[in-house]
Amino acid sequence: MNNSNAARRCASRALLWAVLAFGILAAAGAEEVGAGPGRVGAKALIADPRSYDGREILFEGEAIGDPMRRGDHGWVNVLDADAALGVYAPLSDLDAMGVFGSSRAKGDLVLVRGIFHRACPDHGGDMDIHATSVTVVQQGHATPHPVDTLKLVLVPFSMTLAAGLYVVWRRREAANRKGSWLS
Amino acid sequence: MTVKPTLDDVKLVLSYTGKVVIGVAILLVIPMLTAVAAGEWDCLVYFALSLGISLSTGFLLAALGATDRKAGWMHGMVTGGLSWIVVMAVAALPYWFSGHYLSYLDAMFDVMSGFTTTGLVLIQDLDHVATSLNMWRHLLTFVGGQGVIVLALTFLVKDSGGGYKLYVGEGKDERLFPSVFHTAKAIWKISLAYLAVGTLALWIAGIAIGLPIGDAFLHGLWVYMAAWSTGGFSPMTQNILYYHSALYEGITVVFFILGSFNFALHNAVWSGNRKEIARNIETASFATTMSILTLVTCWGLMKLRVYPDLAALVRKGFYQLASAHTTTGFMTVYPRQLANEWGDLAVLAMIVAMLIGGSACSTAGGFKGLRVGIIWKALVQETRKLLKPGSAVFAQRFHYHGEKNLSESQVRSAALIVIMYVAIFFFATLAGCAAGYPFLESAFESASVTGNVGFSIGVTQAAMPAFLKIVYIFNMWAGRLEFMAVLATFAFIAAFFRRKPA
Repeated sequence: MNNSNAARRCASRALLWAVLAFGILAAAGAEEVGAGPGRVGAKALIADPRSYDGREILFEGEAIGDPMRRGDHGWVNVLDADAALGVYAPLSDLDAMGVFGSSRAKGDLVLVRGIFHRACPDHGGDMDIHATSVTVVQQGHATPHPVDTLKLVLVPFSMTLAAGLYVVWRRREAANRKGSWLS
Repeated sequence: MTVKPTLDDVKLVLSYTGKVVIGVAILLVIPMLTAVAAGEWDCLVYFALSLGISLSTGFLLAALGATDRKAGWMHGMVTGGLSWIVVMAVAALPYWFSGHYLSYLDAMFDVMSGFTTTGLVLIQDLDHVATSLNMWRHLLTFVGGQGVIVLALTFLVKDSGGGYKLYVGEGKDERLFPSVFHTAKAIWKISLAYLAVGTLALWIAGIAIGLPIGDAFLHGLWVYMAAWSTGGFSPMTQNILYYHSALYEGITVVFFILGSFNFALHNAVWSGNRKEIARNIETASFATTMSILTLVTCWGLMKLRVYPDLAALVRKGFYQLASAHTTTGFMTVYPRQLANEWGDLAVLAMIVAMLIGGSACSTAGGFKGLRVGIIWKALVQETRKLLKPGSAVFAQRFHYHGEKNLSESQVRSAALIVIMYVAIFFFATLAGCAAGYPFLESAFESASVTGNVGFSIGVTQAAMPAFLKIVYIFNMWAGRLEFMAVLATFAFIAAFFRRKPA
């Protein structure tokens, strides 16, 4: 009986130590992960910019518009689900991107790692990200824009209607002019 | 007692409205050519369909209204009010067909915003909009700046007496020349000359900041159109922030300030009378209120340490304030930054600037610097009267294309318009609060729609309630036409449907 109680106490102590050790290791691991830059969306950055000002962040979105090369750096605007942010990056990063979002294409999906500025002192107070690296996560592609057949069929109908109404209008105006001249 | 309109009155209004619709429909040829050049065949189809429907509507109205009667003041005013509504419904067709709008109401909201040179948008996925649709958006705001009726007057309306009444119905009353047709042509001449200079300047700047040559031209053309017409539209969601360039911002400031000046002032300067700039009551009023409000804005921003240095503070503070005061609506900050970071003082200064607006007979909105100047002169006169003996008589004078005596009717008319602006400003603020937005944000957005500005603090979104969209459309329309045409339209409709007394 005493032997079995001692064994049970020993087992529960071992379990307690194991749980404690796991907890400490997990916490240490979590701290290690937390020390790296966190992934933040444009909505959070714009809503609470002071919390992220000067901090390294990860920002993912679609490269849109045109890359604007200025000296050895350049600008690219990156759009996530909520808004687009200006990313100031070395030209080598800009050159790595192939497709930029436009009416005819979905731009490259890029992951930007860099320092977020609430009001950048180097760029006239703009809210921007100075990139340390830009990685293309997914290549962009052309987007199809098929012609709507129903609309295409309706075009000649609408034009014929317009031509008919034009004739009616001119005739009625001519009739009015004639009437007013006669009177 | 109001006179019940006859069927002939209705026909005359329909006839002129039809001609305005035809004028706007013909404009669709420009985005169609753009679609061909850009190879956007899907867009070409929906623009062609819109052209067919718009022309049919215009010809139908013109045919229904065919009459030999001459227009009176009532017809001019009612056409001014009604044609903007019909044109809004028709010009929204390409927007709706494009699939970038969640509802037809949203498409009409954006058309009214464009025509009234407001600049607020409900469009979805703006960064992926077709070149031809962007051309249509910016063309609407450019034409709206000069006036859709000015467009029709230039090409389609031949009756000179009725033409002037239509011209006044659109909220303009300056005659640059004795003939209203020459006035309309002069307005277009001034705007197109600046279009060439402005587009060239922004094209070169665009290339200098790294845009490809073709895109630099299109961005230059569109941003110029929006700057000159004090419209505030931009091809990208980030608005002017997209360019990250002080040079680009500087050029837009020059053109939106020029656009906010009276066409008569442009005409005077072009005719060699440069002294008019310094002596004109409107430019004096604009310079005074602009300086005071810039100081207040910068002080508010400085107190909260929003920007890291003086250069950034002035660049951001001055740009947003100038854009607000000229009722342009170009932004180099995000809408929510205004709400979350700028603080009450700077936001209040912006609200006042948006309500004052630019010059009369310009592309700008607001209750106008001329009226602020007249009311200020009247205040000075009243104060001087208090300090002088009762028997003293003196005249208060002001310079507005010549020396003029301040009359009581001028003061009354200026005060009346200001009161009406303030009334609809409070009405839209109340609507914003009723929809659940905070007071200051509602007031900011309300000032923006009432003054045809286009700044947003984040309220204007496709998700906002439909009734608020309708209130904003009403305020943009009434503010742009300066009330008389809107009141006349309602009175005309009510009187037409009123039953004859037994």
